Amino acid sequence: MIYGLYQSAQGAEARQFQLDVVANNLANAGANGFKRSLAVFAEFPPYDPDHQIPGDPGHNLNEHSGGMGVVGTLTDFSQGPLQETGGRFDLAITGPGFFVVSDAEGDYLTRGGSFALDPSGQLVTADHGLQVKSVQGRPINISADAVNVSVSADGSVIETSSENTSSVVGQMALAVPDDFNTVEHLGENLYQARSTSPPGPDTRIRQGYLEGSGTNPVVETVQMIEASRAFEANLNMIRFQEEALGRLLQSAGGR
Amino acid sequence: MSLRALHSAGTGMNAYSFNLDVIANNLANASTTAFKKSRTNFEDLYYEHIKPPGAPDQQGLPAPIGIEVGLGTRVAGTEGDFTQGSLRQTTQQLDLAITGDGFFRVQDPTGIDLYTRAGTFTVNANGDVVLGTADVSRLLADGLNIPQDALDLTISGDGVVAVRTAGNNQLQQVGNIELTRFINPQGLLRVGENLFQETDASGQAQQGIPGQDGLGTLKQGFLEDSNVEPVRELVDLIKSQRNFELNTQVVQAADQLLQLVANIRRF
Repeated sequence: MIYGLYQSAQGAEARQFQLDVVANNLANAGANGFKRSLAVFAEFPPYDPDHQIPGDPGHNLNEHSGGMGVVGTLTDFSQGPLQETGGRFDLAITGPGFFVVSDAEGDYLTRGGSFALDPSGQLVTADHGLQVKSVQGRPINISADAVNVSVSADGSVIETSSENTSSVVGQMALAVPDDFNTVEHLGENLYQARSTSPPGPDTRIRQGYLEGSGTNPVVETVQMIEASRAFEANLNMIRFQEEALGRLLQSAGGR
Repeated sequence: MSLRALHSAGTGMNAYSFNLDVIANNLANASTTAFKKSRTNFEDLYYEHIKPPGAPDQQGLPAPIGIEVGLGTRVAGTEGDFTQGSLRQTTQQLDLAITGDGFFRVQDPTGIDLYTRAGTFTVNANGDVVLGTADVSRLLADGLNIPQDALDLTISGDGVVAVRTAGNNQLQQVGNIELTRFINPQGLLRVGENLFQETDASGQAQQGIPGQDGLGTLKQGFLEDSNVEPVRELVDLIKSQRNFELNTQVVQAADQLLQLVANIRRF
């Protein structure tokens, strides 16, 4: 019976974690290029708690204890909705892939495509000034007297001078993680992947658009209700087991 | 005892109410001459990495995915949108609009250069051209004096100011208006009264003749309207309000969880 208490507590703890994940998703419902996370639960295989041997089930039902818990968080990298902004340096990616941005410490991936020029004319992220990398791994520089800048679907940055001549100043690097499961959230709209490859032809850049947050309010609200109700059920189970235990002790003490 | 969810939702409520402030300012300035709207950018906060991917699971096998949880959102920045506003014709000879990226450079009484696209100029008692946005006169930085007997004033697209005086049919040039541009106008500091100030982030002011280097040409007798689009702002307003509401729901759910825990031993 005492194992039941632990299992109910495990269940409540897992649901609390699920609510934490939902809260983060909903808090970021307005963050450009945000990808929602999902808590993954699994039952633990039965084992013999009295002898603490993982993977060895007990020999009778009393000795079985498994429980459940959070085994991981998955990120839903599916395409977010595009919002038209008309901004010259607002770029959205359709299809798999990320922009590659970097600071002194290394490269990061992002889909939050709001960029700007820094005082030296380098293309950087608008919020933190991280350098946008070209396919050659170099920064992308726009001339100070460029009249217009356009970005084509393959990421080529084309500037037009006041004499109306156009020239390609660089092609933005795009990267697709080889294993999406191991992509880590760093916060500030940045991700880090262990290894990446260039994307296929399905990945395109659209200028004047931003990718909205991938949070789906309906799904998150349902999960929020589910998490709170399951948490409640687990707490009720703790209460029932405590009561039963109390009654057992009372009846034993009454003898 | 604290729940991450409660704090995350709190950060969300904070961020969306800030967004509401930005939208409110945009809408309040929907008819301010040459007003440039702002947009709020959000980003996720730090992630707590509870278990890295590949860490051994219950049976000692490497787990294909890790466990991480984010701690909410924050306002990453407010970005000015410097797209061109539409031009509105006025009857004033000294109303100027810019079609292009440039700014007028005006001088504060304290001597600081400030930049504006709201070309509502007037002539003061000395004949100097000043920006008529406030009770403080701000001189056009390069100095432009209109003779007292000027009858007609024309300003060409490339900034040449010419007047016709009484008894003289010939136009005579009295000065030029130059324009300034910045490589990163988003980096300009907004000082209110339609004025911007140069910062380290904006890059250095580049002065030039209107019509060249993307500075834009001048249009006499026109003013630039605000680039606020009310419909878009209202859509953003609704989105922001709903996001705020969703976060209050999370606060309620988290509160309920804590209440349940607090009451567990009450029978």
